[in-house]
Amino acid sequence: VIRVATLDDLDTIRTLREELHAECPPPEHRRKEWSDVVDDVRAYIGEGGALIADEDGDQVGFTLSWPEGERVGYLGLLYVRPAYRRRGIGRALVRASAARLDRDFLTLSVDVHDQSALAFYGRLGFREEAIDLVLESSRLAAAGEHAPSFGSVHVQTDDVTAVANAVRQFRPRMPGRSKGSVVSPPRNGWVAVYDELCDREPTLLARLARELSDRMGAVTLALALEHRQVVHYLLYERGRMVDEYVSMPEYHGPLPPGDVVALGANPTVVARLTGADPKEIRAIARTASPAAELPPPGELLAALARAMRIEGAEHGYAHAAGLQGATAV
Amino acid sequence: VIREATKEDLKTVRELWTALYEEAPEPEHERKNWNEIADDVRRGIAEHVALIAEEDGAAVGFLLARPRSARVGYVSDLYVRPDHRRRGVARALLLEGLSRLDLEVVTLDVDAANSDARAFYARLGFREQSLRLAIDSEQLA
Repeated sequence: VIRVATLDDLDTIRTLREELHAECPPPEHRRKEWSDVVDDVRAYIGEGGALIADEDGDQVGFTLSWPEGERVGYLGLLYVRPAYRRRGIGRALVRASAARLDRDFLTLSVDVHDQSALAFYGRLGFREEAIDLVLESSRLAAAGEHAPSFGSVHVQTDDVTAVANAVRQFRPRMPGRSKGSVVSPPRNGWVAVYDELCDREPTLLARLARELSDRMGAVTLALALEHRQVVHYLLYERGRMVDEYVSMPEYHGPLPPGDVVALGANPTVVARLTGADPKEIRAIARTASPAAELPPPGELLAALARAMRIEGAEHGYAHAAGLQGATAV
Repeated sequence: VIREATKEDLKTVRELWTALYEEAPEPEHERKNWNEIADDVRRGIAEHVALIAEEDGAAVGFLLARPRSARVGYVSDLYVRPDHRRRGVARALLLEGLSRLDLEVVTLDVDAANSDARAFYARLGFREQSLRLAIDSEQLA
């Protein structure tokens, strides 16, 4: 049951907000203590913008929303406890907020890495509008023109036609214009996809891999060499990311220790999905910062691909055109 | 040449802002006209960071930025006319703007479909942090 929160729910909202932030920590420069926001929360409650989801007398989710001008409502926070997900509670909270706000548009922000939230709002019909970018000024001095990146997506199937069709359907939904895509013939049970825009935009390569995995119910792997320095893979099973590896986890800036561990490879998962030897994956897919402790990134990428029995991972779209038996999309 | 904007530049900024808006319109629900933002621009020129890029005496680009907190700054507008691009003007505007803001963290937002802008900021070291999503409320009913 979805109901409007009252001031008696203030402690409940505090607890649920803390659970939300434990699961999805906000970026450091936007982090706020409860004491900094409690007055705002009181105000949202007063305006009827705080909703609670009850199940059997327990408070299992909440949302805060507010108007931003005459035409737009903003969904600030939404949380459903993990044990109560996949029952439509989140969807009901979004709908109830939209109905109470009574504005033409509803907007919200999602972390670019939060695949499950992106998928959730995507299913509801939300479209991507703007991306918030952030720069730590200390990084600017080091920032210059980066060396180019490339990557490829590998789909565990022999069905080239299905892959080409899925790529064709996804391409118009990619932001920006891609100059072309190429689908390889099956090699060792994998079909490779190369895309010009995804070479330039590593986040899009990951999205292509997720989309192909979701549409085809297949295992997919996005494998990239970023800025000629960082080897990065993301492994998807039925649309869900099940493993991610970044050879230099702190290439883009310092991370909390837990995040560094999370960006190491999971050899068991890789072995189960690709048939690779877990010991070999463990030996190859090491992480390091600085990179001096690792083999040259090109060799690391090639060794990883070999261990997973994947061909054609050592190049991107630029070298895929001449591939024998390939299909241009 | 990058120079600070003065209140005599309001007309120039308006022309550049209009060109930016025509080339990269905001989503429908965020659209504004000049009258709605003119006061903000005046305040920006007086109190915050407002820069103009000139080539051969003509204004070819501008940048507006302001602090959002003690640590975080926000670049609200950055634009270079199309026939003056690919010469480092935007980069020079941004570097000058950031050094004048002099804050630990700088944020800005770009249209998700603008891959040129996304690539430009990525080269400078910006990270993509959050996506803004929107829906027509009717679609949820």
